[in-house]
Amino acid sequence: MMELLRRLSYLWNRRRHEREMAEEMAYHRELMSPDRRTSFGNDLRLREDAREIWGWTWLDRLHQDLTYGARVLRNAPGFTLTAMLVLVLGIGVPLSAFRVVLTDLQGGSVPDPDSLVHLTRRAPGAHMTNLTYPELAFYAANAKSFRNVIGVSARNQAVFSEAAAGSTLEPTPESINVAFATSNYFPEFGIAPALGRVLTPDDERPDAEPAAVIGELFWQRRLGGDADGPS
Amino acid sequence: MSPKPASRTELVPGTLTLLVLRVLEPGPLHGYAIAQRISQVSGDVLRVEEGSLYPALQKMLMKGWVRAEWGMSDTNRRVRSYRLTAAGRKQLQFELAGYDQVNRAIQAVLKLA
Repeated sequence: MMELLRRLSYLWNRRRHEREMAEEMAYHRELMSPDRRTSFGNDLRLREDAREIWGWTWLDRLHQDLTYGARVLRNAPGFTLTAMLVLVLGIGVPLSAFRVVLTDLQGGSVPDPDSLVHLTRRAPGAHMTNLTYPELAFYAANAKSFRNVIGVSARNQAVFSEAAAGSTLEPTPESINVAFATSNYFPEFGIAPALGRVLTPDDERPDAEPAAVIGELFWQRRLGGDADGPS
Repeated sequence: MSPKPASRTELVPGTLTLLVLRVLEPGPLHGYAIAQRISQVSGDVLRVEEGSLYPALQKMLMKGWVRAEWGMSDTNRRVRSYRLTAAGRKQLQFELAGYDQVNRAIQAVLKLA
Protein backbone atom coordinates (compact mmCIF):
# COMPACT_ATOMS: atom_id res chain seq x y z
CA MET A 1 0.00 0.00 0.00
CA MET A 2 2.73 2.43 1.02
CA GLU A 3 4.68 1.27 -1.98
CA LEU A 4 1.82 2.21 -4.28
CA LEU A 5 1.64 5.66 -2.71
CA ARG A 6 5.37 6.13 -3.18
CA ARG A 7 5.03 4.98 -6.77
CA LEU A 8 2.27 7.51 -7.38
CA SER A 9 4.30 10.28 -5.80
CA TYR A 10 7.10 9.42 -8.24
CA LEU A 11 4.66 9.80 -11.08
CA TRP A 12 3.50 13.12 -9.70
CA ASN A 13 6.98 14.53 -9.08
CA ARG A 14 8.81 12.80 -11.87
CA ARG A 15 10.47 15.94 -13.22
CA ARG A 16 12.03 16.61 -9.84
CA HIS A 17 13.00 12.97 -9.36
CA GLU A 18 14.66 12.84 -12.74
CA ARG A 19 16.55 16.05 -12.11
CA GLU A 20 17.71 14.77 -8.76
CA MET A 21 18.92 11.52 -10.21
CA ALA A 22 20.77 13.29 -13.01
CA GLU A 23 22.47 15.50 -10.42
CA GLU A 24 23.35 12.53 -8.27
CA MET A 25 24.87 10.65 -11.18
CA ALA A 26 26.81 13.67 -12.36
CA TYR A 27 28.32 13.97 -8.91
CA HIS A 28 29.19 10.30 -8.88
CA ARG A 29 30.92 10.67 -12.21
CA GLU A 30 32.96 13.64 -11.05
CA LEU A 31 34.25 11.70 -8.06
CA MET A 32 35.31 8.73 -10.15
CA SER A 33 38.91 8.51 -11.30
CA PRO A 34 39.20 9.60 -14.93
CA ASP A 35 40.17 6.14 -16.20
CA ARG A 36 36.98 4.64 -14.86
CA ARG A 37 34.77 7.47 -15.92
CA THR A 38 34.05 5.92 -19.31
CA SER A 39 32.68 2.79 -17.70
CA PHE A 40 29.84 4.76 -16.24
CA GLY A 41 28.10 4.30 -19.55
CA ASN A 42 25.49 6.36 -21.23
CA ASP A 43 23.95 8.77 -18.78
CA LEU A 44 20.54 8.70 -20.44
CA ARG A 45 20.53 4.93 -20.60
CA LEU A 46 21.28 4.72 -16.89
CA ARG A 47 18.54 7.11 -15.96
CA GLU A 48 16.21 5.09 -18.13
CA ASP A 49 17.10 1.97 -16.15
CA ALA A 50 16.38 3.69 -12.88
CA ARG A 51 13.12 5.09 -14.18
CA GLU A 52 12.12 1.56 -15.05
CA ILE A 53 12.14 0.84 -11.33
CA TRP A 54 9.51 3.51 -10.71
CA GLY A 55 7.22 1.45 -12.86
CA TRP A 56 5.82 4.19 -15.06
CA THR A 57 7.77 3.56 -18.24
CA TRP A 58 4.70 2.02 -19.85
CA LEU A 59 2.94 5.36 -19.37
CA ASP A 60 5.84 7.18 -21.04
CA ARG A 61 5.84 4.75 -23.92
CA LEU A 62 2.10 4.99 -24.33
CA HIS A 63 2.36 8.76 -24.42
CA GLN A 64 5.20 8.60 -26.93
CA ASP A 65 3.32 6.14 -29.12
CA LEU A 66 0.19 8.26 -29.07
CA THR A 67 2.05 11.45 -29.91
CA TYR A 68 3.93 9.71 -32.67
CA GLY A 69 0.75 8.19 -34.03
CA ALA A 70 -1.05 11.53 -33.99
CA ARG A 71 1.85 13.17 -35.81
CA VAL A 72 1.95 10.49 -38.50
CA LEU A 73 -1.79 10.80 -39.03
CA ARG A 74 -1.61 14.57 -39.23
CA ASN A 75 1.12 14.38 -41.85
CA ALA A 76 -0.87 12.01 -44.03
CA PRO A 77 -4.40 13.49 -44.21
CA GLY A 78 -5.37 11.32 -47.19
CA PHE A 79 -4.55 8.16 -45.37
CA THR A 80 -6.18 9.41 -42.20
CA LEU A 81 -9.39 10.24 -44.01
CA THR A 82 -9.47 6.86 -45.75
CA ALA A 83 -8.74 4.99 -42.56
CA MET A 84 -11.44 6.90 -40.71
CA LEU A 85 -13.93 6.25 -43.47
CA VAL A 86 -13.12 2.57 -43.52
CA LEU A 87 -13.47 2.35 -39.75
CA VAL A 88 -16.69 4.33 -39.65
CA LEU A 89 -18.26 2.23 -42.36
CA GLY A 90 -16.75 -1.01 -41.13
CA ILE A 91 -18.10 -0.52 -37.64
CA GLY A 92 -21.18 1.54 -38.34
CA VAL A 93 -22.78 -0.48 -41.11
CA PRO A 94 -22.70 -3.87 -39.36
CA LEU A 95 -23.88 -2.19 -36.18
CA SER A 96 -26.96 -0.66 -37.80
CA ALA A 97 -27.60 -3.87 -39.73
CA PHE A 98 -27.37 -5.81 -36.53
CA ARG A 99 -29.81 -3.42 -34.87
CA VAL A 100 -32.31 -3.89 -37.68
CA VAL A 101 -32.00 -7.67 -37.48
CA LEU A 102 -32.38 -7.54 -33.72
CA THR A 103 -35.56 -5.48 -33.88
CA ASP A 104 -36.79 -7.85 -36.57
CA LEU A 105 -36.12 -10.85 -34.41
CA GLN A 106 -37.83 -9.24 -31.47
CA GLY A 107 -40.88 -8.92 -33.72
CA GLY A 108 -41.10 -12.71 -33.66
CA SER A 109 -42.34 -13.71 -30.27
CA VAL A 110 -40.45 -16.57 -28.76
CA PRO A 111 -41.95 -16.24 -25.29
CA ASP A 112 -38.67 -16.51 -23.44
CA PRO A 113 -35.63 -17.07 -25.67
CA ASP A 114 -33.30 -17.56 -22.70
CA SER A 115 -35.16 -20.64 -21.56
CA LEU A 116 -34.92 -22.35 -24.94
CA VAL A 117 -32.42 -25.21 -24.92
CA HIS A 118 -31.27 -27.75 -27.47
CA LEU A 119 -31.36 -31.36 -26.42
CA THR A 120 -28.55 -33.64 -27.49
CA ARG A 121 -27.59 -37.09 -26.32
CA ARG A 122 -24.00 -37.77 -25.48
CA ALA A 123 -21.95 -40.85 -24.98
CA PRO A 124 -18.17 -41.09 -24.84
CA GLY A 125 -17.04 -40.45 -28.39
CA ALA A 126 -20.48 -39.83 -29.78
CA HIS A 127 -23.27 -37.37 -29.57
CA MET A 128 -26.51 -37.21 -31.46
CA THR A 129 -29.37 -34.82 -31.74
CA ASN A 130 -31.76 -37.28 -33.32
CA LEU A 131 -34.48 -38.95 -31.33
CA THR A 132 -37.16 -41.26 -32.58
CA TYR A 133 -40.71 -39.99 -32.17
CA PRO A 134 -41.57 -42.40 -29.32
CA GLU A 135 -38.46 -41.31 -27.44
CA LEU A 136 -39.37 -37.68 -27.97
CA ALA A 137 -42.90 -38.35 -26.76
CA PHE A 138 -41.44 -40.04 -23.70
CA TYR A 139 -39.29 -37.02 -22.87
CA ALA A 140 -42.21 -34.71 -23.47
CA ALA A 141 -44.37 -36.71 -21.09
CA ASN A 142 -41.79 -37.31 -18.37
CA ALA A 143 -39.21 -34.52 -18.38
CA LYS A 144 -39.85 -32.43 -15.28
CA SER A 145 -37.33 -29.71 -16.07
CA PHE A 146 -38.95 -28.64 -19.29
CA ARG A 147 -42.19 -26.83 -19.69
CA ASN A 148 -42.50 -28.25 -23.17
CA VAL A 149 -40.53 -30.44 -25.56
CA ILE A 150 -40.60 -29.41 -29.21
CA GLY A 151 -39.50 -31.81 -31.91
CA VAL A 152 -38.45 -30.82 -35.43
CA SER A 153 -37.01 -33.18 -38.01
CA ALA A 154 -34.15 -32.26 -40.27
CA ARG A 155 -35.22 -30.85 -43.61
CA ASN A 156 -35.99 -33.48 -46.18
CA GLN A 157 -36.01 -33.03 -49.91
CA ALA A 158 -39.29 -33.82 -51.58
CA VAL A 159 -40.74 -33.32 -55.01
CA PHE A 160 -43.93 -31.36 -55.31
CA SER A 161 -45.79 -32.02 -58.54
CA GLU A 162 -49.44 -31.23 -57.91
CA ALA A 163 -51.23 -28.77 -60.07
CA ALA A 164 -52.76 -25.66 -58.59
CA ALA A 165 -56.45 -25.93 -57.92
CA GLY A 166 -58.40 -25.08 -61.06
CA SER A 167 -55.30 -24.87 -63.20
CA THR A 168 -55.27 -26.76 -66.44
CA LEU A 169 -51.56 -26.30 -67.00
CA GLU A 170 -49.32 -29.31 -66.83
CA PRO A 171 -47.66 -29.03 -63.37
CA THR A 172 -43.88 -28.71 -63.25
CA PRO A 173 -42.33 -30.93 -60.61
CA GLU A 174 -40.41 -28.87 -58.10
CA SER A 175 -37.98 -29.82 -55.40
CA ILE A 176 -39.08 -28.56 -51.98
CA ASN A 177 -37.89 -28.89 -48.40
CA VAL A 178 -40.17 -30.41 -45.85
CA ALA A 179 -39.67 -30.96 -42.16
CA PHE A 180 -41.82 -32.72 -39.61
CA ALA A 181 -42.63 -30.88 -36.41
CA THR A 182 -44.56 -31.61 -33.29
CA SER A 183 -47.82 -29.74 -32.96
CA ASN A 184 -46.49 -27.43 -30.23
CA TYR A 185 -43.84 -26.06 -32.62
CA PHE A 186 -45.95 -23.17 -33.94
CA PRO A 187 -47.57 -21.98 -30.72
CA GLU A 188 -44.30 -22.24 -28.79
CA PHE A 189 -42.52 -19.98 -31.25
CA GLY A 190 -45.44 -17.61 -31.36
CA ILE A 191 -46.25 -18.27 -35.00
CA ALA A 192 -49.89 -17.78 -35.90
CA PRO A 193 -51.31 -18.78 -39.26
CA ALA A 194 -52.23 -16.04 -41.73
CA LEU A 195 -54.89 -18.33 -43.08
CA GLY A 196 -56.32 -21.67 -41.99
CA ARG A 197 -54.76 -23.33 -38.97
CA VAL A 198 -51.41 -24.56 -37.67
CA LEU A 199 -50.82 -28.07 -36.35
CA THR A 200 -52.83 -29.24 -33.35
CA PRO A 201 -52.25 -32.15 -30.96
CA ASP A 202 -54.82 -34.09 -32.97
CA ASP A 203 -52.41 -34.07 -35.90
CA GLU A 204 -49.96 -36.10 -33.87
CA ARG A 205 -52.36 -39.04 -33.53
CA PRO A 206 -51.27 -42.06 -35.58
CA ASP A 207 -54.59 -42.10 -37.41
CA ALA A 208 -54.62 -38.38 -38.21
CA GLU A 209 -54.83 -37.14 -41.76
CA PRO A 210 -51.49 -35.67 -42.94
CA ALA A 211 -51.44 -31.91 -42.53
CA ALA A 212 -48.90 -29.35 -43.74
CA VAL A 213 -48.21 -25.69 -43.07
CA ILE A 214 -46.90 -23.83 -46.09
CA GLY A 215 -45.37 -20.46 -46.66
CA GLU A 216 -47.25 -17.63 -48.29
CA LEU A 217 -45.02 -17.37 -51.35
CA PHE A 218 -45.37 -21.08 -52.11
CA TRP A 219 -49.11 -20.80 -51.66
CA GLN A 220 -49.27 -17.90 -54.12
CA ARG A 221 -46.98 -19.45 -56.68
CA ARG A 222 -47.93 -23.09 -56.70
CA LEU A 223 -51.43 -23.16 -55.30
CA GLY A 224 -52.83 -20.09 -57.04
CA GLY A 225 -53.38 -18.18 -53.82
CA ASP A 226 -56.77 -19.78 -53.40
CA ALA A 227 -58.16 -18.83 -50.02
CA ASP A 228 -59.99 -22.16 -49.73
CA GLY A 229 -56.66 -23.87 -50.23
CA PRO A 230 -56.21 -27.44 -51.26
CA SER A 231 -57.91 -29.97 -49.11
CA MET B 1 17.95 -15.75 -22.85
CA SER B 2 21.67 -16.13 -22.75
CA PRO B 3 23.45 -15.04 -19.58
CA LYS B 4 25.00 -11.61 -19.64
CA PRO B 5 28.75 -11.77 -20.24
CA ALA B 6 30.63 -11.15 -17.02
CA SER B 7 32.47 -7.86 -16.86
CA ARG B 8 35.13 -7.57 -14.17
CA THR B 9 33.83 -9.07 -10.95
CA GLU B 10 30.13 -9.54 -11.30
CA LEU B 11 28.12 -9.61 -8.13
CA VAL B 12 26.11 -12.67 -7.44
CA PRO B 13 22.61 -11.71 -8.59
CA GLY B 14 20.48 -10.46 -5.75
CA THR B 15 23.38 -9.72 -3.43
CA LEU B 16 23.64 -6.06 -4.40
CA THR B 17 20.64 -5.12 -2.28
CA LEU B 18 22.09 -7.08 0.62
CA LEU B 19 25.48 -5.34 0.33
CA VAL B 20 23.96 -1.88 0.03
CA LEU B 21 21.73 -2.48 3.04
CA ARG B 22 24.72 -3.72 5.00
CA VAL B 23 27.02 -0.77 4.25
CA LEU B 24 24.20 1.63 5.09
CA GLU B 25 23.66 0.01 8.47
CA PRO B 26 26.24 2.10 10.39
CA GLY B 27 24.99 5.36 8.94
CA PRO B 28 23.80 7.21 5.85
CA LEU B 29 26.00 7.38 2.74
CA HIS B 30 25.59 8.90 -0.68
CA GLY B 31 25.62 6.86 -3.87
CA TYR B 32 29.28 7.20 -4.70
CA ALA B 33 30.29 6.44 -1.11
CA ILE B 34 28.20 3.27 -1.16
CA ALA B 35 30.05 2.02 -4.23
CA GLN B 36 33.41 3.08 -2.75
CA ARG B 37 32.71 1.42 0.57
CA ILE B 38 31.78 -1.88 -1.01
CA SER B 39 34.84 -2.01 -3.21
CA GLN B 40 37.19 -0.89 -0.40
CA VAL B 41 35.93 -3.33 2.19
CA SER B 42 36.03 -6.17 -0.32
CA GLY B 43 39.64 -5.33 -1.20
CA ASP B 44 38.54 -4.14 -4.63
CA VAL B 45 37.19 -7.57 -5.47
CA LEU B 46 33.59 -6.45 -5.58
CA ARG B 47 32.91 -3.51 -7.78
CA VAL B 48 29.43 -2.14 -7.87
CA GLU B 49 28.42 -1.15 -11.36
CA GLU B 50 27.09 2.37 -11.22
CA GLY B 51 24.55 1.28 -13.76
CA SER B 52 23.08 -1.20 -11.32
CA LEU B 53 23.59 0.82 -8.14
CA TYR B 54 21.18 3.65 -8.93
CA PRO B 55 18.34 1.45 -10.15
CA ALA B 56 18.86 -0.68 -7.04
CA LEU B 57 18.69 2.41 -4.84
CA GLN B 58 15.52 3.54 -6.59
CA LYS B 59 14.00 0.14 -5.95
CA MET B 60 14.95 0.28 -2.29
CA LEU B 61 13.43 3.77 -2.00
CA MET B 62 10.28 2.44 -3.55
CA LYS B 63 10.16 -0.47 -1.13
CA GLY B 64 10.69 1.92 1.75
CA TRP B 65 13.91 0.27 2.91
CA VAL B 66 15.90 3.48 2.64
CA ARG B 67 15.11 7.17 2.81
CA ALA B 68 16.94 9.76 0.75
CA GLU B 69 18.04 13.12 2.06
CA TRP B 70 19.78 15.94 0.32
CA GLY B 71 22.73 17.44 2.09
CA MET B 72 25.96 19.29 1.40
CA SER B 73 29.27 17.63 0.69
CA ASP B 74 32.66 18.85 1.96
CA THR B 75 33.13 20.45 -1.42
CA ASN B 76 29.83 22.27 -1.02
CA ARG B 77 27.95 20.18 -3.54
CA ARG B 78 24.41 19.02 -3.11
CA VAL B 79 24.52 15.29 -2.48
CA ARG B 80 21.77 12.79 -1.82
CA SER B 81 22.50 10.37 0.97
CA TYR B 82 20.59 7.26 1.80
CA ARG B 83 19.55 6.25 5.29
CA LEU B 84 18.31 2.86 6.35
CA THR B 85 14.73 2.79 7.65
CA ALA B 86 13.28 0.38 10.19
CA ALA B 87 11.84 -1.62 7.32
CA GLY B 88 15.32 -1.60 5.77
CA ARG B 89 16.86 -3.06 8.91
CA LYS B 90 14.27 -5.78 8.93
CA GLN B 91 14.93 -6.49 5.28
CA LEU B 92 18.69 -6.64 6.00
CA GLN B 93 18.14 -9.31 8.66
CA PHE B 94 15.88 -11.20 6.32
CA GLU B 95 18.35 -11.10 3.43
CA LEU B 96 21.28 -11.96 5.71
CA ALA B 97 19.46 -15.05 6.94
CA GLY B 98 18.63 -16.05 3.37
CA TYR B 99 22.19 -15.50 2.21
CA ASP B 100 23.54 -17.45 5.15
CA GLN B 101 21.36 -20.40 4.34
CA VAL B 102 22.41 -20.44 0.69
CA ASN B 103 26.04 -20.01 1.64
CA ARG B 104 25.98 -22.93 4.05
CA ALA B 105 24.25 -25.06 1.46
CA ILE B 106 26.92 -24.24 -1.13
CA GLN B 107 29.70 -24.97 1.39
CA ALA B 108 28.15 -28.30 2.22
CA VAL B 109 28.06 -29.30 -1.41
CA LEU B 110 31.62 -28.12 -2.02
CA LYS B 111 32.97 -30.11 0.94
CA LEU B 112 31.18 -33.23 -0.15
CA ALA B 113 32.40 -33.16 -3.72
